[in-house]
Amino acid sequence: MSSDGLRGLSRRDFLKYCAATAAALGLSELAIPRIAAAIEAAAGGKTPIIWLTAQGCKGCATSLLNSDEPSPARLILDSLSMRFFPLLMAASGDLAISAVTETMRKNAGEYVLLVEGAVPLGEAGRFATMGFESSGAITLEAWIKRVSRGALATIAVGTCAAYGGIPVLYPPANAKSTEVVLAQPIPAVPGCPPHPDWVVGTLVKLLLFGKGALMRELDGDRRPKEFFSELVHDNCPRRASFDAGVFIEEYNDSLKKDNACLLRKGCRGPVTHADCPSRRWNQRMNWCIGAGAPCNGCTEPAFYAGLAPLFEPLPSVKLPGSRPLGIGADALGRGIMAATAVGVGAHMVAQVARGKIGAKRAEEPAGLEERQPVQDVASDAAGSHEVDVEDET
Amino acid sequence: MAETIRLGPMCRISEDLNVEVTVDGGKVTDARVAGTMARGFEVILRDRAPADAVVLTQRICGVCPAPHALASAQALDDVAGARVPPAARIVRNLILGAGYLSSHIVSFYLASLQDYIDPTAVARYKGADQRLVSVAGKVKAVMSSGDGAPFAPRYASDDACVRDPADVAGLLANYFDALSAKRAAETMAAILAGRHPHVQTIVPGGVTVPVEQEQITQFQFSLQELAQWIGEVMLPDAKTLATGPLKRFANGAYGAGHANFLSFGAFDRSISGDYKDRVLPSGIVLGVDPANFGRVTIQELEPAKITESLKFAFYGEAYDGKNPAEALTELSPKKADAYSFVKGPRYDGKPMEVGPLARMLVARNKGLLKLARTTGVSLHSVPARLLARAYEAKVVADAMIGWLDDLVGALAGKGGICDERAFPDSGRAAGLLDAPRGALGHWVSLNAGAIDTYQVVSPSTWNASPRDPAFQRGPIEEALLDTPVPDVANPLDVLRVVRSFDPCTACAVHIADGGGGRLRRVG
Repeated sequence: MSSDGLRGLSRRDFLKYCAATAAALGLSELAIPRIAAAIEAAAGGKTPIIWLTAQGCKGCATSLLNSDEPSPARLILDSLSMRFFPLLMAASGDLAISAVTETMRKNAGEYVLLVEGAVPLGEAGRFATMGFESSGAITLEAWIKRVSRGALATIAVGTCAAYGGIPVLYPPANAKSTEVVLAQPIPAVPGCPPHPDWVVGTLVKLLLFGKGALMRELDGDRRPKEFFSELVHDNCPRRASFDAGVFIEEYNDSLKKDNACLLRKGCRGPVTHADCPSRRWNQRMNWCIGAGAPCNGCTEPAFYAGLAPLFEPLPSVKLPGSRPLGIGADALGRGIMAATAVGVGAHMVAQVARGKIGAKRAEEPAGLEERQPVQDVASDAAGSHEVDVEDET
Repeated sequence: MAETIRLGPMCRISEDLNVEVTVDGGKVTDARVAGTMARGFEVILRDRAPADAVVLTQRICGVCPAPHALASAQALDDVAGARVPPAARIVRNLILGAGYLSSHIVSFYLASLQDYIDPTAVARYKGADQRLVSVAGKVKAVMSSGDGAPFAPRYASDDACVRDPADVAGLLANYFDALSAKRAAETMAAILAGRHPHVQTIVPGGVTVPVEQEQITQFQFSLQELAQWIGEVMLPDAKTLATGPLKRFANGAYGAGHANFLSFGAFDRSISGDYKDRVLPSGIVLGVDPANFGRVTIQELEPAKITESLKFAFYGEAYDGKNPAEALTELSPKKADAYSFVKGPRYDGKPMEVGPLARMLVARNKGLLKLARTTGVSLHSVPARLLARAYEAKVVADAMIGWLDDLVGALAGKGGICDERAFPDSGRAAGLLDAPRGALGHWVSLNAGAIDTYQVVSPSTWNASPRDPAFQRGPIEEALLDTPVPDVANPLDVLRVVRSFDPCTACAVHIADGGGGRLRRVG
């Protein structure tokens, strides 16, 4: 196989690592140690990481530490330099802050900024602050803007950072995605939480093949195509049941029907882009649908409100026997309903009319809107509090 | 001369906690604790479909999502009149139990250990144990490379830091194994939960997962490995720290705080949601004298006695002193006198410590009581909290093995895995259980079939509470009094006292005010 002698991992090997199909796993078992070695060799040393959490639940960080390969110990000791990672870093207070400012000073252009959580701009940014300067607490908005400036790249980790997620639903916070805050395209690794492989894989892509390659191969929602190009529905092992019209109507049916389709329990698989069916979760032990639970659509920009109520069945999903599945999966992902689908039950139509499923609502919080051209997002700056982080010398 | 120092971000396990202490004569004379991040979950949940609350409230905390899922589901079970089948009750207990194991491993190794070791000591390791040689070599290379992350930058070690090279190498080797153990506990959880974080299979009425024997066997295998590791590695490490570096904390002269303990209990034994019949019991202990603990009365939990003080919190005071079942959240960010967005939970007007120590005391756990007696550690102290956490991990892991047998029996019965009911148009209920960090309550009311009000009081709200109208400090604030601060630039003991409560302020609703004046930063 071809191989970049300097980096030890070819493009093809990387894609096979990402593919996570049964056949690829055989090869990727050879590739896996080289993944870690490749990250380690890429920067001529360990790539410094700054992980800033705004309105986030720490689930993204917790999930990262569940990485299968590389192991979490290898990640934090050998592969990456976790300069600022509050879940386990040694320092607190100003000593911890100094780790951020020293990295900015000594490793400009080399460190990667990972952002977890949505960024609150309301109330002068006071809903998420960290550390102090003479004028008071420093907002995460200010931190992210300042740290991003000198970063090799900034990556939004988790659905809240990528698209606003859950915090956007509390209007006083005026919470925004990383991309909106920075007013430039930002690669996103969504998921609530994201799978550790997606985060590690995106870092590998960046460090080995460069930011240009990473940015070029993102989908319309800024997600790396390697992990997010296919719908859960299209690879679901229960697809045969969907096609045959065998559904779970109540959860107890799972005791009698093996692998029945969860559409009627609210499964968002038909509108969710993620490789969960093949990658599975927690060292491939299980996954949501595998445990009889409907997919919640957590990698989609529409998660949560645009997909709610989560346990009502998707409207406009064509049941097998008539036309093939043709909902605007991407359209639904952007909160627009294809209202003319044949066969939608009266109940679902009513739900749509009430704005409860898919349809864009009048009070749609920012973060769920369609992807805006970058130059338009400046208008979202109204109400934000521009604070420069005090220079540490 | 008194000076006030402000320490923020706390870190380990989360950054969104600030601690402000007044230091006079080399020790803490006053303290204020506040979180620095708020999301407004109680407002977000209004008007949502009831079943969505189980999904949404997990996002209050990604370190301990399972207890939120379960508290939410139990409140919803109640309001819908669902009778959770035995198999589902046990599956939920197993998921919660796996969450306990993961959480306690995170708390002890990832969050606490670094406060008690000097990692540079490994450079002097001269032993022949290959495992330790390997770890010592790796850590030495990291510490001397000029980039010591994540073990540097760090505070200067003091007398409570282990410095013996072999001991440090051993603890660090266990630290790295703990990362794998955390992962293993969550992989185990995923067998029944679908994934972790966040869990997918807990729903109103029961669970979604049709458990098969193969999965039970797999769970059992993982559990036995974890139980063994906890018993042979984690608990001995906790004892080593509690009786060694933490010796001067052992008498509880500082780091103790209000001797009031609250437990909602955990792991329902027969009826789902029944806090009166749990493996770890619910109960109240007030004003305990640790020396006389054997004679203390454990009082029954009466949830109606729970109130939230709003005097020092950024909320309108229409609901001051109300039980969460009657409360609404109304922001008042400019309110005078307030310093925190954390409300001040009180039980019968008293601040209550929650967490593993509270649970082990309410359970009158013989192992812990004996351990305290034989090691000379006061039952109300920083080392007691560390011991209780490690000890409880073993208790829970051992208990879970028996629950697997119960599950086999339950699945053989006809009960199914879920009693799905339609939600009524209106109704109200509460889900009360102990999460790994302490008492967790979800209070829900429905109107027109949707969520009308939803209140969450999480463990860190109890422990990191601000003052109340009687000017009683919250548990962590009180515990900080008299803590030595010989060097304000190196406030290790302040960090140790705070971390002994294992605060996770993703769970709490806080905003810290900037201020200025005499405050100076520390670090």
